[in-house]
Amino acid sequence: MIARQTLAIFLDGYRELNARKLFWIAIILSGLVVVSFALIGSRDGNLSIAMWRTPLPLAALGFTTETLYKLLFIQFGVGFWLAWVSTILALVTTSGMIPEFVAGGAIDLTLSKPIGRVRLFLTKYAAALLFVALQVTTFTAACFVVLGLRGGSWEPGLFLAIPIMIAFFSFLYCVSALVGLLTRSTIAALILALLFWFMLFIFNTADAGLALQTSLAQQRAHRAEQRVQAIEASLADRQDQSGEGIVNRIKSSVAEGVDNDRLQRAIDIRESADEDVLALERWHNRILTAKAVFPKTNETIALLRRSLISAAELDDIYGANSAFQQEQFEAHVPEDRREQLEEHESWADPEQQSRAARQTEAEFRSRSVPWVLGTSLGFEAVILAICCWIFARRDF
Amino acid sequence: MPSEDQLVIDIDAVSKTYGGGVRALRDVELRVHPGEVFGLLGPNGAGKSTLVKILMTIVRPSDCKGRMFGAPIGDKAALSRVGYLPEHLRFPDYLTGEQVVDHFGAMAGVPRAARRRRSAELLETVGMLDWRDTRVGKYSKGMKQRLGVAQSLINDPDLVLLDEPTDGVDPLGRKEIRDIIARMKDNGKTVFVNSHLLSELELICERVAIMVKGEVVQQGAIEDLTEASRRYEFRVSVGENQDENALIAQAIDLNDGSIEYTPGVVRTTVSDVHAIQPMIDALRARGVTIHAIRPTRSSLEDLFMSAVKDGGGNPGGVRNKRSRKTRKGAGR
Ligand SMILES: Nc1ncnc2c1ncn2[C@@H]1O[C@H](COP(=O)(O)OP(=O)(O)OP(=O)(O)O)[C@@H](O)[C@H]1O
Ligand SMILES: [Mg+2]
Repeated sequence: MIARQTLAIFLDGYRELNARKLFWIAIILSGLVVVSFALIGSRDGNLSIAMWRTPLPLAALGFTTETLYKLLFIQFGVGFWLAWVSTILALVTTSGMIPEFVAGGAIDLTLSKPIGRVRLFLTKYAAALLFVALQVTTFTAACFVVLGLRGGSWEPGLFLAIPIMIAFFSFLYCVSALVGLLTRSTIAALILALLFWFMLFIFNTADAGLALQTSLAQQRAHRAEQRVQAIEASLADRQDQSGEGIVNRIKSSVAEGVDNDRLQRAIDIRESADEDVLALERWHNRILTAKAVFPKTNETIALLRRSLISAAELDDIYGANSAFQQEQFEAHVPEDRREQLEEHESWADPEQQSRAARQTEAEFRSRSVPWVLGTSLGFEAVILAICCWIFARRDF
Repeated sequence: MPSEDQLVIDIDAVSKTYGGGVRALRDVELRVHPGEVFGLLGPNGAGKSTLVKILMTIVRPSDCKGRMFGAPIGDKAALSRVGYLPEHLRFPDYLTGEQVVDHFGAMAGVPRAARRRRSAELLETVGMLDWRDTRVGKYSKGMKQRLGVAQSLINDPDLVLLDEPTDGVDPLGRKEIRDIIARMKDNGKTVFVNSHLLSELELICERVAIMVKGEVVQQGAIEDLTEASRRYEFRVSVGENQDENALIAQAIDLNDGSIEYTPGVVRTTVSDVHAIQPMIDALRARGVTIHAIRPTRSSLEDLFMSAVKDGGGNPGGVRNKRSRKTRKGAGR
């Protein structure tokens, strides 16, 4: 009986999706994304699109074809296509499901069946996740084949994207369901879910931005400290070596004056960088506290990257990338300009930037899976409990 | 099948006050026997649908003492034996007629094979077989209603609750729905119909309850209810230069509450044929000519009208009905 009813609700959910154009549009777009992946490849160490070889040196950037495909899948396929475009399409399509489900005249018959209200609501909710489940499953399966054929690696880990994306979507959809249940309005359900998502986006952006800036400020402080020590050492040297003779003495006192100026600037930079670090950390902690109760959408999606790209691969990519950029930088910026640039407080060279990014990613990776999923699912459970409570007590 | 002596619906007291403070039902008492066609009638807003929705667990009662199939009202398991046609029915537009019947059959727990077989049968019965592969969004109102009747029977229920089944259905369809109800009764099923189409209920129901402003004011077999209003009517005349009024007053006691007199017509609310024999004798003895004696009884419509009129000012006051009328008659 339970299985029969559950099946009926899912079948109904599928038919509802099937009747909507947007569902098929999303599937077709998914197909296009997969095709464009298949066109990308590497030829003689460079990135190639279809038959054209681009000047982008993949190998020099630390990519193998396999990591290229995995990163394309993670960053573009999941990170952009599924987590943004497809999610918007999914919200637009499914936000109406709960309001229509509870509309007068439509809900009566369903409620008159031998099925408890809580189970009925939860099953309907699960059926509404079908859109994303079908989308991400077809997309992942297609990408799996492309990665196997073109990247030469059959990576079953890709399928982790399915539970991750369903979980990610459900974190947003539970809000839509609650609003839809309360207001019985599709528009309200959609808009509030989007606003909620936007709020999470702000939190996530602030979190990532602050982490990066903190790391940069730490490096700035560190470098300034190194400079201070270097200049102090050279000052001490100079005092020892300052020889006889008026010319020499003038020379060395001029040099000493210049060094003293440099020393002062380096100390100033170090102090302001230390202050920055403190202020940034304070803000970062505030954001993390605020984030604690909300779903961790970014971290959830990043779980895929965490599991598919190992720390060693990351080091390769970041290392090669920063070496490449540093090379370019050194080739184009003369040595004597560099310290000037360094003293510029908000400036960081490619190597520093790359190291900061690596460190930020390491910090995100250190957030434990139970914390990421536990708090997110906890939030969803609370929202669903409220929904069930409302649904079970309402007179229709 | 319910055992013969067990009531299908046995409500002692159900009350419902909606969120806005609307008292839709007040201490409703209702009994439906197995195998009968029961009609619940009442004016708009009387609370008929509310009562049915409480039985169907769609609305939660404020207070409820009652049972359906022996289980307390609100028990979900009992619902698998029930078919339901809601009022203002709306099906999902994207389903075809057959899918609708199949979906709600599955929700009622009917196995797949049985659903297959019965859905074609039922669609045939309501005359919708040709439309089974068309999406419900394209149906007319009456077609949706017919489909609604079909889906209410998919689980071969022992009890069907039909909330205004003929709403929007053409005369032919009404006849068909009446036939379906009759057939269900023949098969020993119980049918509960909500309606304000009295002529229709009169045709199909054995027992009715009249609900006014959330209270059941009358309940019983149509026979019995109208029995109370059974009376005899005498068409009379007297000789040329005789005073009809005086003669009749001599023959029978006009102050007796059970008698009403207007020139040419004597009405008595006595319903026993033996009880009127002395009256005939008395009238004849005074030389009153009796042209005809007719038994009359009020129709369901009269019953309904008076119940509603009285209930309107004073809910539950229907039992005062006769005495008030009598007082009026006595005053003449
Ligand atoms: N969901 C609701 N919330 C608040 N009040 C309601 C609700 N449903 C019905 N009512 C009120 O309860 C009363 C009874 O309504 P109900 O629908 O039961 O009447 P009805 O007898 O079925 O009328 P009709 O013959 O028009 O179908 C009405 O006054 C109505 O306004
Ligand atoms: Mg009604």
